Amino acid sequence: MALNADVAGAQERAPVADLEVRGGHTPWQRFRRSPLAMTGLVLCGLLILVAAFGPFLAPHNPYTQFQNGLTLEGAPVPPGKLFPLGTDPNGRDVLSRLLYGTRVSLGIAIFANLISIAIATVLGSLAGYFGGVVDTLVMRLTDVLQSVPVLLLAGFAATVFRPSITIIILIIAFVAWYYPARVIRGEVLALRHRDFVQSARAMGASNGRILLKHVVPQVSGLIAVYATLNFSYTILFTSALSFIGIGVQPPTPDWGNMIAQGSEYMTAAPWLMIFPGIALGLAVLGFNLLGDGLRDAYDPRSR
Amino acid sequence: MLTYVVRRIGWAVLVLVVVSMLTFLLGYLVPADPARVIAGPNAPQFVVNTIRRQLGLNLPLYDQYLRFFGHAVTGNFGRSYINQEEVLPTILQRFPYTALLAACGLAVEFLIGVTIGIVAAVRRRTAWEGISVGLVVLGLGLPSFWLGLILLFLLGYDLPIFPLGGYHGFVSVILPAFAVGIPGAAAYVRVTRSSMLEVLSDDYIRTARAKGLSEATVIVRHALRVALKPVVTMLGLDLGYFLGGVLVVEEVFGWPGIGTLAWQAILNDDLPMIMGTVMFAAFLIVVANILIDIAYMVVDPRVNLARPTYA
Amino acid sequence: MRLLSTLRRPATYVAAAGLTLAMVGGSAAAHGAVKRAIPNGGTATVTFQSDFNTLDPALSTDVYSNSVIHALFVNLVEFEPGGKIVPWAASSWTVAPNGLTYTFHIKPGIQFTDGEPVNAQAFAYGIERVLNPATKSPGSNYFLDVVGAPQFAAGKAKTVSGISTPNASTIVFHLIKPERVFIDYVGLQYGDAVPAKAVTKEGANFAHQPVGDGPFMLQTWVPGQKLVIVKNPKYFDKAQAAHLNSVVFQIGGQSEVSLLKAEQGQVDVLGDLIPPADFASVDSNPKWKPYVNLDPIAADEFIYFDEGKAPFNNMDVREAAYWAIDQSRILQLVAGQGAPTGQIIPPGVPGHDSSIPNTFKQNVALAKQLLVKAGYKAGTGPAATFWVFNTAPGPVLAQAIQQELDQVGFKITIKSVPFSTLVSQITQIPNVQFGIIGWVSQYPDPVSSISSMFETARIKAGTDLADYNNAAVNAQLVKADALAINKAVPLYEAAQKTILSNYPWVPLYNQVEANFVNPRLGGFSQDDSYWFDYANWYIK
Repeated sequence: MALNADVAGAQERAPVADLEVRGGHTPWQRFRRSPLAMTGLVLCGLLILVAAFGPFLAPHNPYTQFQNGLTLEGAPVPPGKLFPLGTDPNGRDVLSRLLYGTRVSLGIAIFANLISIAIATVLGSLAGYFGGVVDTLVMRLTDVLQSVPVLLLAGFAATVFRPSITIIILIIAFVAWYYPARVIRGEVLALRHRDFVQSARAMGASNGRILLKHVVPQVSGLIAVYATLNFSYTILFTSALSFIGIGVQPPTPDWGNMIAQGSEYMTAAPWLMIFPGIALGLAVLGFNLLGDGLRDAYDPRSR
Repeated sequence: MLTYVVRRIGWAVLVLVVVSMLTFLLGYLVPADPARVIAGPNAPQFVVNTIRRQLGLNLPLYDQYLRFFGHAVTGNFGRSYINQEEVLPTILQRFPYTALLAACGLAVEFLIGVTIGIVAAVRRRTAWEGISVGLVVLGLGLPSFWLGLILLFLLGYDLPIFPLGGYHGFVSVILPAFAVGIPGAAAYVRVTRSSMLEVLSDDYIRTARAKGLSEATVIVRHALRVALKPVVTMLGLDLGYFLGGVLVVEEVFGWPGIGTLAWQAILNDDLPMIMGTVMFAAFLIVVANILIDIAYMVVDPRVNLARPTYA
Repeated sequence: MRLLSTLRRPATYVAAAGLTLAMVGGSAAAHGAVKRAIPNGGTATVTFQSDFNTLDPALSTDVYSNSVIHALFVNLVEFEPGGKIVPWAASSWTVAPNGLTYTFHIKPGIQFTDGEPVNAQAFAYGIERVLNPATKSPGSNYFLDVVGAPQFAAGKAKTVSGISTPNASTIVFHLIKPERVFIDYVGLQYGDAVPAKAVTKEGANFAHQPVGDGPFMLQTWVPGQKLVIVKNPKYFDKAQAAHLNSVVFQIGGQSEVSLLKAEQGQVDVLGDLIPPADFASVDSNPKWKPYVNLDPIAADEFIYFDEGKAPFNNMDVREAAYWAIDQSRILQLVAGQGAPTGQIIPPGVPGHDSSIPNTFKQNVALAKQLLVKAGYKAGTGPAATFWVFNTAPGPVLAQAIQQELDQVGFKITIKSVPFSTLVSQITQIPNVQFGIIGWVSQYPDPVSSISSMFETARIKAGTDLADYNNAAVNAQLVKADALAINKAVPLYEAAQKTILSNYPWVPLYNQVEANFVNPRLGGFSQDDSYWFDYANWYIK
């Protein structure tokens, strides 16, 4: 009996003493119960809506440089009636740029994140589970990739290739996968020696089955955590790239290059840095809460 | 164990060689001509050509690489194209500053992050969880350069408590360490909390509790050791990354470390300095990883990376 | 940021000829002027975002390194504000009537700080070293008109036959052809005397441990952090010695932060000038207004077209782009740091033509018409890539220009790159279609302002950014280069008019350098000769 219980995997075994019956057991029901998780869902939903429909809400064209968008001395205009969040150094409306920029920034972060997490899960699990040659190869690969200081590599590459959005997504994905991969590999490595895995093997389950049904679900919490951690990393990395001049290129608006330019105007026009920073913060908040909620919902052991 | 370490070192050397090739290739592809940069825009073409010949830039790529490699293994990374400084001594002279910033940044990250992460995990559904989430969000959402600029402005200018960048004794490292540490701490909070939560619901923890051990003992002696494993991995990777030069924070604070050195080198297409800084950072990261893996094996004897692992 | 403005201000000296010294911030006390009343002592602090490249006169190309080199080394002659060239290490000089021989008489008793004498041999050594291919000096082309120099620079001769030192205090240069600006070249950093013993001993380290003879000497240089120069007690001219005891350079950090330091009083001068983002707020703040120092310099900011390559090989397209630009908007964007100009030669350089208007009004209709004339369908135009430095104010200006051109039908892509890439690309002929750039007149002579950018030979040299190639104009310029300046000016004026009518450039403005200077510092000015002349500074 004990053997079977172990083989069945921790996922189906809930600590009896902590079980809350009220509200139901399905993941969605668990998710719904957490106010934080729901907040995250709402925030993310809002952001995605803004990304999708924001351009229709924008009061102005984000690329238009207005004559009256600059003071007589050529400085950006502070928030006011005509430009609710002020203007940028070229006289463009900050609010409109923020709305358009949401699409760009979220898009880059989400795509880069998905790609990198997928790679990380596959390679990390394979490395941790099979060990040996596979492990060595994957680990050496991560060693090489992480041994080149990330920002420098990206900076250097960007002087060679013109920084288009595709290239930025690829650079970020390329650079963000090995961190979670190593951690996932570490966890899987430890799991491999756990009883339930040994027993499953003893019972004749194939490696693929063990991986899919037992190992990966065990690390799904970690994957979820890293997917959301990575989201913040990817979006911050984009803004760091912009800060040193090689991210999304103006005039295309993006939170990163708006913050980067805003940092030059920190004392002269603080609104340039504050609003994109808030947008960034909200995005990170939303995705983190969402990720947390998902993990809690699917992995009751953590309750 | 010894053979394992030797093998790892062997792999590390291979990794370093691959990194050097990759970086060298990128340097070759950059659309900037170092000879022209040295000669300046006013110089006539024949001066530029002379300099190209003297620097060996007209040789085929593999030839240039072999020359570089031959010198590098003797510790000679040449001289900067831009200011004639010897590359390796310059890097070594600036390294302690980055090391100081890295150590302090890590300390901030680890202490704040792990502490709050543990508390958040142990005190679920209390105010502590909310605080930890708050810190996570705050920290993760703030770009380090943004935070650095704000800190500089508020605590260096508005309230002139700290120096406005640069190195003027130990007090100068405090602001940059926090600029680097707070965004990083958030990540440690997340991972510590998540890891602790998983461990705390494990069987043997319940056993320990059932045995009547105090909560504090349970947490510190049993849970923490296991829960900290992913944190240790993060520390190792962070260390390597930091030591490569926390570029953006160094730029903001005018910190005389190798981050600013490397970035100036890239902007100037100063190939010897680029190769030097990249290889130096790579070396540190590789060493850090080997030490982490050894630490893994020591901490958790079930994990023996040295033995063949199949069946 | 500083290095990228190197191209904006390529190294070398320009006498701010004709500058109105009525500008705030202390008139540059000309050497020899009211020195007695000035107090001695004290330390001034200057910030720079990037480190100095080198303190070796033969290797320097940027104005910041040059400013320190000027404090550490002595030339035969020096530039005065107003464009005059006056004796420095030389007590006098003569030029033969045919313009082929320059004879300098050197003052006795000048020494380097290590005791080596500064005599004719020292100057000959310095200049030969610049020509020597082993030095890899960017300045070798300045002395190629000396007899024997081309052979020496090609490695075919052991010495430069055209430089002779009949005795320790006389040095003679024989030229291949008359060159009015040779005397200017002698005043550049490449004309400094250097100590042979120290150079041979230090080798490549001389750039970081220079041994000089100027009003200051190097005390410390912690790379990436700070550099300190101190008064040289052995400086030969007691009457014109430095006033300050030392100048401290703080290296590193964002220029916005340096402004904060200056506001706190920790720093006297901003080496990288007032950040463009902060200029408006600083200038309008009554507390900081007395700190703001505006110095116009002999420099141009302009859009250049590559006439050799599509689409700008068609003059109608160039003219269309010209009329699409809104010069007043550009000036608004650089508020306070530019004075509009409509020509190539900056004010203060002979040949500047005050009959040419400084401003032009945007004419969108005309621009569109010209594009139609060039063969494009109404409302459309060619696609082109616009190159710009990636530091302020470059990207902001580029985006404004992009919008103005797109409005008439162009399809512009901006390529915003660091200095090394830009200088490599624009000096290679086919690579760049057009862009915006700033160029400082190297010395107060039209050779620097116009000949070096429009003579045919300069295309291969890389400085003729527009690939302008007109045989008649070329002949005019070359002829003018050999004449005495008063005879040459009419030729330059005529050539300039012809050039402008071909629209190789859109002249935008002449730079005005806006610095933030603590009022306790006297003797401050900024000019093209030496950028900052530290020997003039004093604490009030």
